Amino acid sequence: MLLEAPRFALPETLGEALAARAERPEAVVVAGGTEVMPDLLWRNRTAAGFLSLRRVAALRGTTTDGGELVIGAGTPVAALTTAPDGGLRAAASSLGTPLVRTEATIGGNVVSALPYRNLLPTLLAGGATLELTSATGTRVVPFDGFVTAPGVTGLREGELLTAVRMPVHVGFADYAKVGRRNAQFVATVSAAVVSRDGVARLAFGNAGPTPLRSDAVDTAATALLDGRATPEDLRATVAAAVDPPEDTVASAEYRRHALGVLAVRLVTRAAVDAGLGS
Amino acid sequence: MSAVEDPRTDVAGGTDGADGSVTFGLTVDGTAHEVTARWDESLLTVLRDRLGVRGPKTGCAHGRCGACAVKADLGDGGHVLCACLVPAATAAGGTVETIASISGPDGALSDVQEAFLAEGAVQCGICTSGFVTAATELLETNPDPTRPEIEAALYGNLCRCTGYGRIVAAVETAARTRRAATR
Amino acid sequence: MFANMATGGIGASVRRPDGPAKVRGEFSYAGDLTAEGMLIGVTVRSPHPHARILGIDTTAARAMDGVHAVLTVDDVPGDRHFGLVLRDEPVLADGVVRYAGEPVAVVAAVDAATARRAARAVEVTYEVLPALTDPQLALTAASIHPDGNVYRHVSYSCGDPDARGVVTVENTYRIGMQDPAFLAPEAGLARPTPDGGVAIEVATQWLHSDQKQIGWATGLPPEKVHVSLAGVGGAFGGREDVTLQTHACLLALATGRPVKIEYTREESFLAHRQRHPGTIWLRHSADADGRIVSVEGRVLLDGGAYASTSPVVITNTVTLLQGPYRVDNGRFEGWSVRTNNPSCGAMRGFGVPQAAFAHEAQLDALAAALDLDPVEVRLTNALQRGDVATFGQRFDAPTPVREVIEGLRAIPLPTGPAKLPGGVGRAAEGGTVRRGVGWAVTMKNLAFSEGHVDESTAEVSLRDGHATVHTACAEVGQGFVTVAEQVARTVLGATTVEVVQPDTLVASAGSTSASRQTMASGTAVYRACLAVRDRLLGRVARAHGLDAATLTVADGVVCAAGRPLGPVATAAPGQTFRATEHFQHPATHPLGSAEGGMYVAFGFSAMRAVVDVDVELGLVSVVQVASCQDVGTVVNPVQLRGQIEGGIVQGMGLALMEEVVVADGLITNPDFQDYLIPTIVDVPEVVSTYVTDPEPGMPHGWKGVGEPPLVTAVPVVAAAVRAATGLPLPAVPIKPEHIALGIGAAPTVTWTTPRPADPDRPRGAVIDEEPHDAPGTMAEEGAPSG
Ligand SMILES: Cc1cc2nc3c(=O)[nH]c(=O)nc-3n(C[C@H](O)[C@H](O)[C@H](O)COP(=O)(O)OP(=O)(O)OC[C@H]3O[C@@H](n4cnc5c(N)ncnc54)[C@H](O)[C@@H]3O)c2cc1C
Ligand code: FES
Ligand code: FES
Repeated sequence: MLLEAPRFALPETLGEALAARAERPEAVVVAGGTEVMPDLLWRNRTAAGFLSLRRVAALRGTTTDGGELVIGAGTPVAALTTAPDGGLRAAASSLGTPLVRTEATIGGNVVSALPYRNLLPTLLAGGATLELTSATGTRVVPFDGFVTAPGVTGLREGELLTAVRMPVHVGFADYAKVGRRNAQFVATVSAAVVSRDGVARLAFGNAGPTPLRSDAVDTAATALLDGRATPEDLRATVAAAVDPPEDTVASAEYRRHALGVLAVRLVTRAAVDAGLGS
Repeated sequence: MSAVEDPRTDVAGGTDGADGSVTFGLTVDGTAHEVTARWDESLLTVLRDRLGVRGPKTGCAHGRCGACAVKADLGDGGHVLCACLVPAATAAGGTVETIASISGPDGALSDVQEAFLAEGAVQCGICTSGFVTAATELLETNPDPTRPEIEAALYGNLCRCTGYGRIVAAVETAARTRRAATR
Repeated sequence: MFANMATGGIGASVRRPDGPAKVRGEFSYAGDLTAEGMLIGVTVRSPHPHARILGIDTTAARAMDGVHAVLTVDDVPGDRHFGLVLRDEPVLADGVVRYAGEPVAVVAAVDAATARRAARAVEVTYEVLPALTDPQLALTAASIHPDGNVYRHVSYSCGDPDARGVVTVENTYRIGMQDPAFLAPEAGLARPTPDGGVAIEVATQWLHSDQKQIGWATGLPPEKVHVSLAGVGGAFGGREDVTLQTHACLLALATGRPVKIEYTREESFLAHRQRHPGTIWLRHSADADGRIVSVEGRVLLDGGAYASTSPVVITNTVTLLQGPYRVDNGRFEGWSVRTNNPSCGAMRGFGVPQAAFAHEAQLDALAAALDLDPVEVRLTNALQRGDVATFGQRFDAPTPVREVIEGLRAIPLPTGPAKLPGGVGRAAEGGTVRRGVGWAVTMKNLAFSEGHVDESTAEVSLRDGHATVHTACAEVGQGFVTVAEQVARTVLGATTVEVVQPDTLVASAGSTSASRQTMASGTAVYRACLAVRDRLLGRVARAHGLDAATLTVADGVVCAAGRPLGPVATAAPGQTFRATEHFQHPATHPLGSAEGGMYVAFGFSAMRAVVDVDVELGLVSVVQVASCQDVGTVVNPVQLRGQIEGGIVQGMGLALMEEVVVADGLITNPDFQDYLIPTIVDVPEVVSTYVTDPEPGMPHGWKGVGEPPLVTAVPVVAAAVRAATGLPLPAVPIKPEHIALGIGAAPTVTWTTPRPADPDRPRGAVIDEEPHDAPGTMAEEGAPSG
């Protein structure tokens, strides 16, 4: 431990972190703090102490394991702006600001579990899995289904998210996000695509209470990819599949519309990449 | 709505006694300090209110404006970040370089600072130390940035006065000066 | 006149004297202030937009360790009310709260954490009342304040408002609430003074107005209230009203200790005045060649809970509905009303951006209806010197409307690659983007109006070439300190100049607003410098036995009949020359007064915007804004450019993204996550040119330049987006969904039988006492044609 105070723990190793997690169930886990600190400022959350993962070196960095990219949960988003995966790269590059990305982590983004967070559609489209570790061991769960409601995940007491595993796709992956200005914005809506061997998979941000994908959409997207369906078909399928929020930023109608537009554009990009369209 | 108070220095709203404090070492602009702060204080509050280091400014306290930008090394080499977003004690044993470390030891202005003055990139100046800090970092990694690269590096800093035109010009001028000096 | 550019005089790009400290991070802002034994003040604010206060229990808060004072309205020793124009706002809520965020109590404690805890411990019992949040309803609803719900109703006509050309176009335009969003939240530090008075260092725009209002609340005479300027991190109108000034002083007096108050970003949104949101209905009728025959307009501005400058802003909006065009026949009416929404007041442009957005949309609609070039329509109608305004004032100074339009036309369109709409989100595709080009021309009144005295005083001294300039002009970032230095160099030949921090030891300089400080304080400094120079030259004349009338100062050298005698710095060793001079513009008069005009001066500006729009998603990239502005003379090229670029970007912010969203009286976005101002990625290339036609009566012919760029940027960006999309877009900010879903009604175009103006109807403004009609419901022109 680098620092231990009644309300603050600063472990250096994963072992220390897990022990602290077990000993301090009331403490809020904080990685980059870019989510937690504004939340506390705005009283969106309360905390009785911090368990900071910021100095656990083992959580930072990316390796490959077979066909998977293993991204430590404490890896800063800035490091992902040069990731091999085009979707991750695009989602990371448009997250927050250059000054936020140096501290913001992938783990914090995932556990924040807010439907408009950047990396989530990318992980969903890419078929990512999560390593959840507690003092008693590690389990690996699919990201699909991990977020159960805004801000709510399947993380259990005593567990930390230790890594995100992303299949390395030989194919095309991209991400796009719509907002109300041209940099530093919360996604009004967002979408990610992965296409491989003629099959397209889409996922959406702020299209419902949790990151969203559907088989029907993927079927329509794949059909558009190989020319069996029209953009209008895909748009209609997306419109039926999503249930976006209505708020002061945008109407649900606009969001539904924009999600369809993003879906078509991303699939078209995939088609161009595959040499299938222009 | 949370119209009532600023929890900036009292985030948990708790009734902490002494057990809410954390004590740690922090080197700021070359000077070593022992800091005692509340566990939930931001690095920005510690710098400004506890250590009296007022070069980093408070524009929003939630990561949007970049007025609080400093270069900090939390054991991983150091980079520019928003001090208002960092729980201060996570920087235990680390080092922070504020705008004060950017001028020369004799007080001479850096090429970036000089260019900000020459190009009129400063009006009210509350954003300036953040911009100078971020622009200095940019030129260290990319000595010949294009306009899109300058914008990509600086969109974490807001300026309400200048409309940014003179700020871009200043970074371009500083880059030119630096390249000329090192040729 | 422009001789000593090289030595940092008028016309040169002199660097800011406060610049080195600012780039080092050493400049002291209000938020940086501290004092020995300082307490921290925190404000208890109402969470309700409208409620009766049944009780305030401060017992628990007072009992807390470290708490030194908890004040409510009963602790206000002087007048309980304040305000810039009407005194209708309680210093601390007096039985009723009328907006969410209204100060109810203030607390001072040893540190911020204690003060905040104590603030939470103040128990306020509210009886929540229905909130009046619809400005239209405010006209007829029961009063929510003893002074009533209408701040001001303005109604006048000129010529024959019923005259018609071949076509009329009409539409209703909406403008959202913009926040000044200066980057340094409000802060100030007050201390009790040994004479029983109080001194405050504060980031403000108007020291003497603060002094007066602090005096009212504390019951202290002005000489016991000392206000000095702390470093200001931007203002844009938002620091013209009193916010924490009075509270900090009351706490300092109550505790006998220095008290600092510093707002958070959220409090800043709640506490300061926003730009008035409004609805404007306009009807223009024109000849086939586009010449305007008549204009009718109606304005409804939501002033929010307390008056601030609402009674003045409404007149600006209403009278400037004509734009920079000749309008002989018209009828204009407007209301600013009280609601339980956030209070609105001054923001850069002061009511005119609203008018400009509406009248420029109308000019484009006229051009479209008549199939004319929008630029030609503007040239056809351009005001000229000698014309008479709808409000009766003759334009007797240079009125270079045609010149700014022609100057703009000379600027080439952008070629090169452009940033994609949507920026870093990477949503747009090259192929889905449509380009649009829009034009706008505007007129902005400069300086205070309608009889509000516009004056300033400067004290200048000179010793051995070192000049000291003292005024109460608040430097808020605009660069007055540089201008003052340039004047002292040019007029006095000073080698070094110190611009003393403003305070109330010198007479009032008025507010740093209304584009007025170069004109007012700059001219006061100029006059004081002339007086000091004359004293110096008198001394030199006596010493050398010369005729003072033959002596001049040029480039820092005293000359006799044009021949150098020696440097100013050594002309009178060890002697100090001083002068205090006052400047006041010729008086202005209320709307409709027979005695004279309402306004001191006008500034004209033309812009062309080029935008790229992703129509399907409604995303916009502003590629270029070209500007040609009437600036009198160029005092400092770099600073002038800074004003133009900064103003354009604030205007494009209002056009595309900035809006304080108020739902049921509550601000839903009091932060920089959801209140969006342009980032460096959003801003266009700016090309800026000038028309320099000297303003009469001003040294060097200078005039105010700060507001016109913002005023013009709002309509020009909207016009360009309309051009790209073919949509009417009658509301700002333009949201992506307005474009993507085509939201917003098109102007109604009616082909009319020409009806010449009745020659017997009077020219000039005739005041109508009674409202013609409810806002926006003026009689239908007839069945809209296809
Ligand atoms: C100015 C600004 C702009 C932003 N813009 C964007 C944006 O454009 N897109 C976007 O998606 N987000 C944005 N964010 C939000 C935030 O930066 C990201 O979600 C970031 O990835 C969070 O990471 P963090 O490490 O800072 O999280 P923290 O604040 O440290 O933590 C967030 C949550 O995750 C939990 N947590 C973190 N790590 C772990 C772990 N390993 N195991 C278990 N729980 C954990 C914490 O307990 C907390 O609940 C922005 C934030 C700011 C301040
Ligand atoms: S104060 Fe830290 S980003 Fe605004
Ligand atoms: S100079 Fe004022 S905010 Fe940038």
